[in-house]
Amino acid sequence: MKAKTLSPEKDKKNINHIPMDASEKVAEIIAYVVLVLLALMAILPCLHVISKGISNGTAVAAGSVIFWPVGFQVEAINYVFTRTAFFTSLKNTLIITVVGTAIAMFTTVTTAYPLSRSDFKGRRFVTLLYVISMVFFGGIVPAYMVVKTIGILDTYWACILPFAIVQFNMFIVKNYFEGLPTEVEESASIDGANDIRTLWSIILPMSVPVLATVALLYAINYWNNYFHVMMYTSSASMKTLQLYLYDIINNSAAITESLYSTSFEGTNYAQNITTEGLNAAAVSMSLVPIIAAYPFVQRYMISGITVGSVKG
Amino acid sequence: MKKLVSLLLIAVLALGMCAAASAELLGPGNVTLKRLSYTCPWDPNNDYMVPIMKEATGYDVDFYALPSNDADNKLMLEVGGGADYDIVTVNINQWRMLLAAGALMPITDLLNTYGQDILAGNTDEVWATLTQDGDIYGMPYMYPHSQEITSFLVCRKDLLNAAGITELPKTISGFYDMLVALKNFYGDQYIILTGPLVAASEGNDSWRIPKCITSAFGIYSDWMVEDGKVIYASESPKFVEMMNFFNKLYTEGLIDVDWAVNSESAVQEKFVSGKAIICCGSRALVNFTTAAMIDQLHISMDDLCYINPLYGDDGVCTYQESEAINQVSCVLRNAKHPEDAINWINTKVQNQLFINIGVEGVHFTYDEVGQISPINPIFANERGDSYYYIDATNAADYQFQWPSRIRKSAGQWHAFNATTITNPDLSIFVKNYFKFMPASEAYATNNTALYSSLQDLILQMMAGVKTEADLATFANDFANNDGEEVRAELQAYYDSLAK
Amino acid sequence: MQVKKKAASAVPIRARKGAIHRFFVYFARHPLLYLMLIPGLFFLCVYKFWPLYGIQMAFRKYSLFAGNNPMDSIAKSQWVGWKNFNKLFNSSQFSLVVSNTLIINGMKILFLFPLPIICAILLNEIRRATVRKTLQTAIYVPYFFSWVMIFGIFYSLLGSYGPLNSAIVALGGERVRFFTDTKWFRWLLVFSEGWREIGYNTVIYMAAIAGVDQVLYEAAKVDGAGKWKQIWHVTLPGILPTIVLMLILKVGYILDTGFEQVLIFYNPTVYSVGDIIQTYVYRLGMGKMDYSQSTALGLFNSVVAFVLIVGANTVSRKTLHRSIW
Repeated sequence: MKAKTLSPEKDKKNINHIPMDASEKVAEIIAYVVLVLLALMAILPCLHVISKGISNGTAVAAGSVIFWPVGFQVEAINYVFTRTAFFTSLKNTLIITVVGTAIAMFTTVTTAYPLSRSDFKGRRFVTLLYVISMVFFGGIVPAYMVVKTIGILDTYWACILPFAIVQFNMFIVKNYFEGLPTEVEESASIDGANDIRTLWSIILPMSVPVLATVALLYAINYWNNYFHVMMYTSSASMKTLQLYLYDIINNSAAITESLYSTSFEGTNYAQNITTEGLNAAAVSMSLVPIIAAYPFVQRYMISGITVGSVKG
Repeated sequence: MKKLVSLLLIAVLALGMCAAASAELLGPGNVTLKRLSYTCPWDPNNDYMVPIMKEATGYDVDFYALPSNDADNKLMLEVGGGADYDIVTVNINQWRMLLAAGALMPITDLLNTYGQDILAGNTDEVWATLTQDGDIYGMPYMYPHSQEITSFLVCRKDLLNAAGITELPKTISGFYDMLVALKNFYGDQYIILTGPLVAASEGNDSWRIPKCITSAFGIYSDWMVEDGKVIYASESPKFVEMMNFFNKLYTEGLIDVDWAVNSESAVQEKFVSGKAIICCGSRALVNFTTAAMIDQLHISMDDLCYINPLYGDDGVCTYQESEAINQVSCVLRNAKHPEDAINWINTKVQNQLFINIGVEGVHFTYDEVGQISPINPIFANERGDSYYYIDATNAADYQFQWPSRIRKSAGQWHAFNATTITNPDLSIFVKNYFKFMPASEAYATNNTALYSSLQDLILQMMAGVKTEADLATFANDFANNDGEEVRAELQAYYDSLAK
Repeated sequence: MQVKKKAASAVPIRARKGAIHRFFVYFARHPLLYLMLIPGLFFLCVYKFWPLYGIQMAFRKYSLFAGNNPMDSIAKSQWVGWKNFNKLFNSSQFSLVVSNTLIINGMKILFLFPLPIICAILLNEIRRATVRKTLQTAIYVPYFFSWVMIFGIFYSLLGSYGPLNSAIVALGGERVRFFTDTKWFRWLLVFSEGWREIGYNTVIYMAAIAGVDQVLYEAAKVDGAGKWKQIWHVTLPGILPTIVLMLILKVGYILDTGFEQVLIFYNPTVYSVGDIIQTYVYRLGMGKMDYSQSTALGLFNSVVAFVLIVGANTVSRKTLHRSIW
């Protein structure tokens, strides 16, 4: 029954089953044109940043680097790797993202499932609680004090637990669960499966794409979290990648200032490390893990769920 | 009521402090101190300066840095939540907030016992600033050079000469004539003057128009004193004339059209790439641009020249002294090791030359006139970061030691020499009356917002979005945002000085 | 779908009598469902509802050091009633910044809301998996740039002396001051927001499309529906719940978004078109650490958002038979 709910070979199937008609070809051509344009618009500025990170420092300062490196140096990246807390912050962010996403997925799924069931008593009340908590915020002072009172200030938990359920993500999952045919659940309960079993072995296998997507949204949320993490941590060893990036960007002028020296014979030391170049190096290095991890998540985000076959 | 509450609070805290204060000096090696300071671009615990300070003082210290954004919020929340840093090194405004909140420990006795070198290193006038009700609450790090030209204009001499300009202007009308001559000669080929120079941090010195031009209109600061009366820059008799001048430059295309948007790096970029002829400058800017221009544009250092503060056509030129307290180091009431904190800072002052500048023959030599000359690049590589770890200093010694930090960069020294050292006219300097003003509430609370709206007004009038007619609205908003309360405080302080 | 609608219409009729009794019957039959809610509700209560205690700061003159600790200080700070709100509403600029906020965020909804939907549908039309994945990765990367970086990138490309303007001048045009011209500034905000967020939102719609039953497409094809009809009759209805959810939230937060972006992009010459509520209050509060004022603004925005969300949800329930709760 749960065997063929997901069919990764959808691509092949689409082509094999019914021949492509003209409208499909047109749609695909439009898709290519629009998306390639969009992708270029997204990628070119990124190239701009990466090129700045590895271009000759004075060329960066002169603004002559646009989409392609001018000259080449790795001193800025070397500085980022050796002198700054890049790897510590990367490690912290990875731990927070992985553990946080796991916890958040658990709470999200367990919350979304009861709330998605139309027969669930108390559904409207609990859902409304989530809407209210999404809209109202007490401010940073009480939020800080709650974290302090619980005793998790300046630990990983302070960066994980307060964000362990994001209402919006919960609604996305709930929406998806609601779209699943109720017959499936009913047949399961006739088979004598309890609610946890139904969720685990019937609902979740049918929801892989949305789970992958929401996991991605959580991961992005943890990865990008800046303000609260800044407030809840204070040790240099707890710094996350976002804090690190802001500190580099806001301080790069101070870094170049203290690094910079010139002999009176005119030899310039450290001229390859410039404010802009340093920012660019730090930012591009921080993008590497994201770009590397995305394809793995994407494998599960494919469409092609065939719920109908279950019914049939 | 409020006073009563804060008195009670102070009493409670003081009781707690008595328990803490009974602790004794544990000495180096037996204690790890906690120091919190402003944002740090590198990992403050993983820097070559850490072992150097350990070598000199014997103390282990954990360094904590405030974030680069929202530093005030974070500082006050942590302190309010009961943080126990031994040393907090912050700017004077943050120190005033901490003092007003009753978060600081009086350190007079500690200084007498463990901090003799710190005490001796600064003048009574400075200590008076950091004293409240007879007790000292902070240790100063003084700005090392009091009569520095911090704002000037850097010019491409080669381009000036090509356009037939050989003499740099001294007056405001001469300056205007030069800009027009350059425009007539080069047309749209170059940006004639680019700016402004806004430091990354929003200090009170980041004016949106260069002070070396406002000097010609007698305007040198946001708060000024005229005939014994404290006035705001916008109320100065020549403010409108000044803004009309800048508006004229803007509409005639003599200055960068992106003036209101330019970040520091955008200004640098335009100058280094050779797109601009004149650039609003500062030490920090030329430190970097000069070397980059030599590399990119194949010019030499002698192709750069500097315009000092301009004189009005009536001969007026006013420029504010830069002397002030850079930072204050203080001890929190919850600190666990106040004795060792003071002792550590005192030992650092004793070893000031070694820690901040280095070893003679290795990091620096004395030149023929006895000044410290750095040896590059080892000076930058092994002492470049020392500024971040400075707490209190021996001010007189540091005034002598500090110029070596400028000399580590030839471009910076070139400009410093041309503007500050060889500038003969010291009569342009106006005393900063308020530099040692003690903590005052309205000023600490409101001045940042007032300052920011003044800078907005300046940019708006320059771009012609606002005109003289809008000054009344500005004055109105100024009053609504407690500007008059701030003025009253400043006036009262000024009057007390005059006595 | 069918079953759900039936249940929903059935509730009001039977609701009044024995509701509590029926709750317990249901509870006894499905205790695990209630158990499942506990982790989420735990985090909700601790990290969302407990801090709501601080909302009273909007009606007080909060002083961080009024009590033993910042939380204690909340109740010990002076009660000032509506003063913080009056300061906000009575300021001379208030109507200007409210209308700017509505216009800027309205433009963003109008022009940017449909784009991720279109992108997701188009992405789905690309059959070659590697190409699809590459494109998807590419358009989602900008979301990871902070606004500071994005401003830097946009300024170096669109600045008055940047490459785009050089090209315009070379072609005989006039320089366009994208950053200081009041005619262009809002479009700059819309464009840069789109650049950053389209990819991210596309991901959400991709998930929704993945949930559309493939059998429906097969059936549509058998009925002879072309691509456009399939999109119109199968895809769009399939992702409608997500579209509605997103739209309701977007409309709800119309007063409450865009702060960081505007703060970094604007400058005093474009205040007349670019200054929004939050940037204005931010400037007024600079250096003051006025938590009460910012809590008052937050509360005002929250109430507006709540009213708008409830309103939009009601409209959606009446017209589309979709409700968030």
